[in-house]
Amino acid sequence: MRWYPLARKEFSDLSRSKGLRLFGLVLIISSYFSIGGPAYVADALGPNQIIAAFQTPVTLFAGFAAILVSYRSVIGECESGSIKFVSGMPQRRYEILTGKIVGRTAALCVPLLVTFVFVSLLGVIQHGIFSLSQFVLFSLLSILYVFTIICVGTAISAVANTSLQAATASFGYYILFILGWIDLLSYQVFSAITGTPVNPLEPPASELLFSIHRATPIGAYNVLTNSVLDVGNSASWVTGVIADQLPNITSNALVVGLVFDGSQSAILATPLALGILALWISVPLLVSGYVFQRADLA
Amino acid sequence: MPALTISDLTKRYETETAVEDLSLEIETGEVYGFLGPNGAGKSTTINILMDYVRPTTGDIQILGYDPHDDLVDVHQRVGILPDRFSVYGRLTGRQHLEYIIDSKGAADTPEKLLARVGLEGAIDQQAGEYSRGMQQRLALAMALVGSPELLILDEPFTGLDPHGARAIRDLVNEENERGVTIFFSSHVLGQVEMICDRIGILHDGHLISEGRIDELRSDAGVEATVSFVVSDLSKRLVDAVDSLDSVTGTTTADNRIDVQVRDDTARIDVLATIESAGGTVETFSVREPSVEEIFTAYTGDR
Repeated sequence: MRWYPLARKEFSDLSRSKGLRLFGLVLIISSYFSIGGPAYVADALGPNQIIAAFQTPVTLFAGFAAILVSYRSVIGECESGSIKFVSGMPQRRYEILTGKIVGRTAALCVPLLVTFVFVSLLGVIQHGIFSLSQFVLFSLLSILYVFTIICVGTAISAVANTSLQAATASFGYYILFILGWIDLLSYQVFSAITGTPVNPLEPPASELLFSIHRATPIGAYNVLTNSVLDVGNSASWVTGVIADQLPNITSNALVVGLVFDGSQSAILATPLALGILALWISVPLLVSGYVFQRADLA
Repeated sequence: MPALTISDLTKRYETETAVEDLSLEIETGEVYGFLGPNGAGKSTTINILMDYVRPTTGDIQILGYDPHDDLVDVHQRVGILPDRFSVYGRLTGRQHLEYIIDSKGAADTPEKLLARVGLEGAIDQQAGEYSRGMQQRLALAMALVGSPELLILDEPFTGLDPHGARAIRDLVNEENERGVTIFFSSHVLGQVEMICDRIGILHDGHLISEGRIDELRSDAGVEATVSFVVSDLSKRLVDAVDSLDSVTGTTTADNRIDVQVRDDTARIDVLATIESAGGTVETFSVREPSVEEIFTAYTGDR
């Protein structure tokens, strides 16, 4: 636990950031206005539509905030010279990365959880009481998602030589693997590999396509939260997943149950999405830890 | 046991060698000044001691530990005031110190530490609002956390006014009286003279001279100046002084003669010569060569 004082310092420092308060405000507004939507969502989820309203704001805005708070966490300190205090403490370099990740995740979770509680209370007034157990599970998965993105951002920051490099890599990651993945790039990747174009309105029964679709943190998070909301096995947005399963509506969601008729392999099992997040946590950290351990910090 | 031993240390970057074959030893309880112009390799050496930067070759022992393999043990026992640092602008002085105190598991209090550096009045002010001198004092307070056995101070006088420099000197003396070994780099040479037991002069990555200040002064061949105020100052008297072997030059103004001598003992010869030439010395004063002149003598023609 030699990383704990650094985590506490990171938390204290980041908690005083105006940007974090702005993020909290954006998350509250976007989550509140995401409640409701089409009538079929209310019909399918009842009061749990309040929980579902957090899915898109968390993936897009909290994901963006996670990148913002992490991409300069190491290289920024190397450039300013404050890393000399941190790395002058009795702790190993992997403990520096651990302290930064834990502290920054904790700081970002404050506005995240405040949003969940505040918007849920507003939602309860309009839509009634939702499932508390599903709410808690959804919140834990959201924390895990933010933690994953912060691990990726911190890993990039630890291997970058300049803040510009870190910014390019981190925001590139956000655009490719978060913002554009679910509805565009996952299809492009599948087409590039197989040569088969994807029509998401009538997706092929390809385990590879569905695997690629959920192979990023956002895809895995959607699979897990859709499972918590009990709407089906899919990496798509909850609204599209519900719509796709209605007789008179088609959507671009890729829903396992609608394509594979129960014959899909274990690779698309919902719990494996936790393994995808674990990979996005461990691989960047192992690589960056190896590089950071050998790097000159001044 | 030496507090610090550096053996054959070399650090090469892609296009330059920052430090080459550096060896030095600092005894426990010593105040050692590491001098050199900007770019000489002082900060690189300190960065290697703190494991911020890895050496290309060479061995280091700090308090009997290897700075890389035994990093936790070393950093637990060493206080560092780094060069070119930046504080955390949103955190207060108190929070900076709480972080270091927690990290080292020390029993210190932020109040007492900041009082030692004269910052107690700004303890709950954000460090981003501190002046550069205040930030330097805060960093020094951070270095003192946990009563370190070795203090490494990299350019501690940077950004300080005379009062701040005095505060640093007093703290160095206090810590040294407690038995702490102090290794610091500086190019503010006047300050060095006041607090160092020994100095090492680094130039272009090489240690070109090392020793007590009086030893370096003697080895460098830098002359002291003795000024005599003489009644009846005559040309014959000046010529007689000029002809002495231990005198390298003279200048006169009114009834004062400034004599450049090779060593301190020469002034006795000069005094006798003045009196035998019919002069009467009213007063005299000796100005030893400064560390700056010694430093220039060692590095000027390189």
